[in-house]
Amino acid sequence: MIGELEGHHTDIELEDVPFHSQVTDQCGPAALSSLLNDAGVQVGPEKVKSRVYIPERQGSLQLELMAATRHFGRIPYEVDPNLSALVAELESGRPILVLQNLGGSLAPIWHYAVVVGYLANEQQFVLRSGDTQRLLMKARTFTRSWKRGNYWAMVALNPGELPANTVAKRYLRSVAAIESIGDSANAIPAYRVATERWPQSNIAWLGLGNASYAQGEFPEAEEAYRKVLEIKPGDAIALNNLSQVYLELGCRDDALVTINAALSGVDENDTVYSHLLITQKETQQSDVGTECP
Amino acid sequence: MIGSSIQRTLALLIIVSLVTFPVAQTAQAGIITTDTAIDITDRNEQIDRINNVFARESVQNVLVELGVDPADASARVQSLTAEELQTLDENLAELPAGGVGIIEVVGIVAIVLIVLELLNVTNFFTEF
Repeated sequence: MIGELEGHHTDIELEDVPFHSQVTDQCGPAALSSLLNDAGVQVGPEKVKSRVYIPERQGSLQLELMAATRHFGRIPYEVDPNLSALVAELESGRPILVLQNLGGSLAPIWHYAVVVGYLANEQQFVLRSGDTQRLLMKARTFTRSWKRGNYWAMVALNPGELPANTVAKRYLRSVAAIESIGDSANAIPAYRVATERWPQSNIAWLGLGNASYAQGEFPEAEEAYRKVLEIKPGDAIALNNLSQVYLELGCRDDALVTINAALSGVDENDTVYSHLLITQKETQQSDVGTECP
Repeated sequence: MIGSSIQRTLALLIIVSLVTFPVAQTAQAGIITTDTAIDITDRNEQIDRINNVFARESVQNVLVELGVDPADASARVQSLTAEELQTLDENLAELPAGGVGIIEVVGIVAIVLIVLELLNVTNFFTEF
């Protein structure tokens, strides 16, 4: 793993990443505050603590750090478990929150810290950690502690920002997560940038359609669903959702034609079949205008 | 007659919203979510979105038992996805909770060294 760093000869350090000295067992709130502040969210450890700290466990869970990141309007993205990925994020200007195990497997000592730099000549990582604003840790030592934390690392993306190294599916899952908790406003720019990076990704367009629909932006939703259908002709999910747009726009005839097209393309065993049937029934019973206004 | 049709519509709405949404959302009953679409493309097991409602409640109760303020717990579970809720519902007790600081680590190491020294396992201190 250390070998991955051999190609990096220049020092990189994000000096402006804010530091919050941790109080007793609250490295989670302190580390997450640094990350969020750097991503433009003005929040301090006390407020973050109420979103992540678990008194009886004297600590914070990874999943709750991610959930809190969503709550503050940023997209938590789990970075690939290797050193190159950490350095790539630093090069994109993003600090990385990591989970370290400073003990052993028998007596784990779990600790969150924020990686803010890598000094190539010294082979040292620079961290905001505990009550140390600029902790220098040998790359080897850091990697051991990070390995015992299962190489867990996350960044907080601003909506519209892509991670340094990513593949469509993994990025889209993290955006779908913010959409699913109801933050469609932030999901829109996040999906849009995905459609620019991966114009042939039907999921990116579907996500853009769904988030636009949730925001009541029906023409944008329609356009996005049509893109899905260009990429994947006859896609039942896009047709189902497009029929909903037509209903919202007051075009019941178009909605019926569309949902019927969706149903004609799938058999009864399809995962979405029952959903399509419900949509069809609701469309038939709907009292919106039959023809588009 | 009108009553029963309203009841039927209501029942249908409740079923659809339970099946489709982790969080109560408005005006989206018929949409198939992006999450679901990704699950289908990945051929993942679909997350059981009915159990999801129970998972949310169960995780919330566990957080309160572990000392989290009830109002905070209720707000916190709203930011977890269906998949995360199920993971927490099943494994919360085993998941690592990062919490310790560097000072404490130094303290723990020192105590271990002193104990080993007292037991005459090492002679770390007498070397100096």
